[in-house]
Amino acid sequence: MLAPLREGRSAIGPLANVQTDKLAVTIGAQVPGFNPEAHFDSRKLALLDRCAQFALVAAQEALAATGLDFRGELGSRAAAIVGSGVGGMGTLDDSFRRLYADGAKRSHPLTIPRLMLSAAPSHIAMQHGIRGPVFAVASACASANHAIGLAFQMVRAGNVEVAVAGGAEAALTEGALMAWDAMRIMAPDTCRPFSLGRKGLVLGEGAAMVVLENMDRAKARGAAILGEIVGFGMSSDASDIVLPSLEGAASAMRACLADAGLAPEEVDYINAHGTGTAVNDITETQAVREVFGRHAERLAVSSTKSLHGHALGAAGAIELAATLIAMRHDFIPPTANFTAPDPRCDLDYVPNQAREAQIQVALSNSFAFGGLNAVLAIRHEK
Amino acid sequence: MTADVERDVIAIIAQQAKVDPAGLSRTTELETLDLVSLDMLEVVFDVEEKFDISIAYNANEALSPEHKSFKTVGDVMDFVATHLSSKITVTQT
Repeated sequence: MLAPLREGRSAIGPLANVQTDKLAVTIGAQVPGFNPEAHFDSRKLALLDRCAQFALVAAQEALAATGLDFRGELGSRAAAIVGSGVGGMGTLDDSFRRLYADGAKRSHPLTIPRLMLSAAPSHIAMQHGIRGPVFAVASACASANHAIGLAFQMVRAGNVEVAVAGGAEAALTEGALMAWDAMRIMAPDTCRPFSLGRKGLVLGEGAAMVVLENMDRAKARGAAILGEIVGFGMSSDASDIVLPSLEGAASAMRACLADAGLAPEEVDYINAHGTGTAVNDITETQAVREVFGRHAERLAVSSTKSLHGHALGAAGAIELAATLIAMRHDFIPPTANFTAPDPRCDLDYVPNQAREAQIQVALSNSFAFGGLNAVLAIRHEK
Repeated sequence: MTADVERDVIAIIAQQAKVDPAGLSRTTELETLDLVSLDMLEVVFDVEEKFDISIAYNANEALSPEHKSFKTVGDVMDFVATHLSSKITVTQT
């Protein structure tokens, strides 16, 4: 992830392995070269939707890097919380195609355990022996941030010692893509957040997981610390099922700053929700201005969705990973595909080229359909 | 344009706006019908289904001030008529 982030190399391209003849928009950001057989034996694979596959691989990578072992007492003091917008969409799509289009007389017996939204955290728990709080979080495009934020709160409160948390999504199926097409907010060309000429969002897929533990505990065991989550803010617009509100977005950012004990002036970078839709980008810009006042002029704000697409329920986790990587390597990831400034979006979006800079404190925004907002604050850990 | 197209388009828009079709004409501005963005998506969908045509409608562009299409009921009628005639042309050749 480091090289594409730093080089501003976008993963958006023509969709592969999905029927596109009925689709108006035929681009997306798919996980390249993912081979399930390389990760799972055939017996286990039969139980796993692509969404759970992504979640398991991401959790395995994250946990392997920590060296933690949950087989003993720690397992009952550990949590696994995974955000996802729709869970096993591929399984559902395939099942319904068989029944309604192909005239099948029966459903596959593993349809339900594959498609359920909570399959991903369950499989992570089974694989690693995590026996404390384990559940899925669904808040559309804010799911991952809500999942990570809840895990952060549980660790901070001492409810659990360790939490693996993140998001997973694999909804680039024909049925799901057609449903997104019908919303008329998908860009046919590419994702250009905050740029003049932007035509909407580009869907992505994937998963990212982080392992959270108390700072003292992590330091005591000599863990490789990637960064510190210092605050979490949530809000609900309580207004519209698709249109975002300035007040809701601003309220979540304010709540996050207050939770972290941060002054607005301490924030260097915001990884924006930045979907590339006309409405989101204007509203988010106005909300940032409202919360940060004059400091908004000095803030760097970029949308890495221009690189990895909009992975819906996994977006917040992938964006947290992007933010942590950028923090550790002293650069600010760019907003790619930026052509010209939009007069209604007037912040520093770090267009097209990464910038060498140290990020001490960052926010990562997720503002979902249904007006569900979740913001994380991250501090550089030296 | 046939009277059928005019009548069907008015019926679709009236149903979505929850108004009496008799009160709609070519010059009625969609804005005055209090159609929010999701309502317009449903109008576009209903028109596509009714006439078996595809409308390249992007809500992002529709929100921009310079966007001209679909300001009035007549704009929708004209769009449908144009697409229906091009479909007929294709069939005949």
